[in-house]
Amino acid sequence: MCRRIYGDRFTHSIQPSEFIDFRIGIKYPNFTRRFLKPQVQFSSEGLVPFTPLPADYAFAMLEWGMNWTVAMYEFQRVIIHSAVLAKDDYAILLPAPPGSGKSTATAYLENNGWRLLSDEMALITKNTTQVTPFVRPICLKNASIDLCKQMFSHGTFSETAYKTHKGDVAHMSPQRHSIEEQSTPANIVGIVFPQYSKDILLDIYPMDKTSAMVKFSENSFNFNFLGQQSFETNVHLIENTRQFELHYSDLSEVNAFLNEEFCK
Amino acid sequence: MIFTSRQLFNILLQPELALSFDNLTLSNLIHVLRAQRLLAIFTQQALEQNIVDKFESKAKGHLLSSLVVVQRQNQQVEAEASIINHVLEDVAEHVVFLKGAAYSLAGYNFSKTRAFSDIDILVDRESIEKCEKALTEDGWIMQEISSYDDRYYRQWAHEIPPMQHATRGTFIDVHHNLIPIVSGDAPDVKLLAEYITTLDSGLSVFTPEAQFVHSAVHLLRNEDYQCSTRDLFDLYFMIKQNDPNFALRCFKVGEKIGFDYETALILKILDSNFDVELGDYRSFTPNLKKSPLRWRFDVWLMTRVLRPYHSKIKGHKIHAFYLFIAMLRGHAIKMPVWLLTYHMVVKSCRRLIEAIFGKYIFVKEEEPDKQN
Repeated sequence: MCRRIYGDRFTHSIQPSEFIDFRIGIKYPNFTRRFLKPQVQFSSEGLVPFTPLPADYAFAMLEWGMNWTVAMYEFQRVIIHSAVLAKDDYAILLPAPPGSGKSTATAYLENNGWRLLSDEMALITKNTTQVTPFVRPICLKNASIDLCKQMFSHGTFSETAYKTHKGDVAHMSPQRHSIEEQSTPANIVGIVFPQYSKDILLDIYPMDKTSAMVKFSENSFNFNFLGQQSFETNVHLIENTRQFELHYSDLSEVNAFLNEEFCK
Repeated sequence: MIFTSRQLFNILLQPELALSFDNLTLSNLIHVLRAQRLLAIFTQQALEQNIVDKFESKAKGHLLSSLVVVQRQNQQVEAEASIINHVLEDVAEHVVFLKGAAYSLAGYNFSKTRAFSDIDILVDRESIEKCEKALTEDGWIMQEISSYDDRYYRQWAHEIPPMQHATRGTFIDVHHNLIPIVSGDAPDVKLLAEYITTLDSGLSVFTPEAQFVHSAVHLLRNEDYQCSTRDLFDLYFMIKQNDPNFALRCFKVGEKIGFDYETALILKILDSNFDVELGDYRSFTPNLKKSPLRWRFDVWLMTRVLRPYHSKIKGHKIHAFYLFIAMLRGHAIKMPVWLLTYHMVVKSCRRLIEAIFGKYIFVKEEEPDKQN
C-alpha cells in the first residue's frame, strides 16, 4: 500500500549521507493477533502511543501516526492543523475542524491548478510567513471518498478503512506537480476558514484580526509547548495576511475566489 | 552502525565525538538517545560546549526540539508545586517535593534536561487521607485503576494511587514513605524529618545528600529498567556538581536511615560506568546484612541493566534478559514471598488472558490522539 500511495518516494535503500528524521513502524502487537481478529499497532521512537486497531486500518494508522510523531517531536516550527495549498509562491492556509469539507476542497484545488503542501499540518517557520511543504496523501472521509473517486477518476486511492473513529477513511495520493515541488517552501498570503453547507451560494466574510487570531490559534498543535514563540508567530501571520470565512457549496466558486483574491 | 553503551556514555558527555558521524549514523544516534530519554542531555552538553551549530541543520533541529518540552515542563513544575503546596500546607505536617520536582525546584542545572511524568511528594502518613480529600477538592482526580490495583496501593504500598489534575493534566503521586512498607525495609519516616530543608521559595525538599540516597534507593528498588539510564545520569550529575566529600556524606545519611547498602551499591555502579570523584568510597563499609553473594549479584546485574537499551546498541538481546532478571529482583525485594506469590498469581492470570486475547483486552478502546 505504501508503494502504491507514495510511489517512487518509497525506498528500501538508505545511503549513509541521508538523514532519517524518525523511526516508526506498523506491526502486529503479538502472534495471535496476526490471525485471530488481526490487529496492528503503531510504534514511534520506541513508544506505542495508541491502542491497536483492526489490521484493515493499517495504512490509515500509519498516516495518523506520522502526524502524531511530527506533532510530538518537531518544535522548530509552529504547527497549525490546516491544509496548505499554493500557486507560485502564494500559499493559502485552510484551517478547519473535521466535517467542514476541508479535505474535499483540498483535493479539488490540487486538481485545479494549485499545488498541495499539506492536507493536515502547516509547518510554519517561526516569526515568518514561510510554510514548509509536507506532501502526504489527502485523508478523505465518508461521503467525500466516493465523491472524490468520481471527480478524480485518474487519482490513486488507498483501500477504504470502514468505521474508524473518524468514520470511513481513505487516502488519496498527491499529484505529481505537488511532489515535484515538495522541497520548495511558499509564503502564506491568506488564511481561509472554509465551511461547507449544501445548496448555498458562496458567502465571503472578511474577518477582523482579533477573531482571526483566536480562531487560528485554536488550530495550533504546539502552542502549549512553544508558548510565546508560537504566539508571536501567529500574530505576525495574522498581521501580514488576509483572513476570510467562506461558506460554500460549489468548489469552483471557492477556487475562483481564491484566485481573484490572492493570486493577482 | 551499532553503538556500545560505553561509546554512548562518552558521546553524551562529549558531544563533539558525534560531529564526525555521517548523517545516517547521526540520525541513529538521535533515535537511540530520544528513545532512551537522553537526547536533551546530549543537547544541553552540546550547547554548553558551543557546538550545536556545527551539526547538520536537520540534526540541529532535532536536538533543539528535544529541549522544548523539558524546558516547558520545568517552567510548569514551579507553578504546580506552589499550587500543591498551597493546597496541602495547612493539611499535612510537611509537604516535601521529591525526585524530579525537587531537582527542578532546587535549581540544579541537570534538571533542565529532565522530562517529568509526574510530581512526587511526601507527606506524613496521618494526614494522607486529608491530603487526598484536599487535592480532590482542588480538582485532582484519582486515576481509574482496577480494584485489585487500588487495594494493592492502599494496603501494601507507600503511596496512594496517582491523581491527575482535571484541567491542567498534571499527575501527582502522594507518598507517605520512600519505599513500600511491606518490603520490611522502609525507613522510619521520623528519621527523614531531619533532612527536610526549606528553599527560598518556601517549598520543602530533602537536603542534596538525602536526595541522592532517595534517588539511589528508588533506582535500585525498581522493576522496570527500560529507560533507567536517564536516572543514573541524575545521580552522576549530582556527584559532579558537589564537592569530593559529597559521596561520603551521602553514605552517612544512607547509613542513618538504613540505606547504606543501596548507597554503596550506586557509588560502585557510578564508579564502574563514569569517571567521577567519589572519595575513598570503597572504605565505606555497608552493613552487609544481605549476604556478600547478594552484593556481588546486585553489582553484576545493576551495572549492566542501567546501561541504555535499544536495538541499535550492542548486546541488546542479552540486555532483554537482564531486564527480565531485574524485574524479578525488583518484585522479590519489594514484598515478602507470600505476598509476591499472591500478587504474581493474580497478575499472571491477567497476563495469560492478555497473551491469548491481546495486550489490550483489559483496556477500554479509546481514540488515537488529536488527528484528523
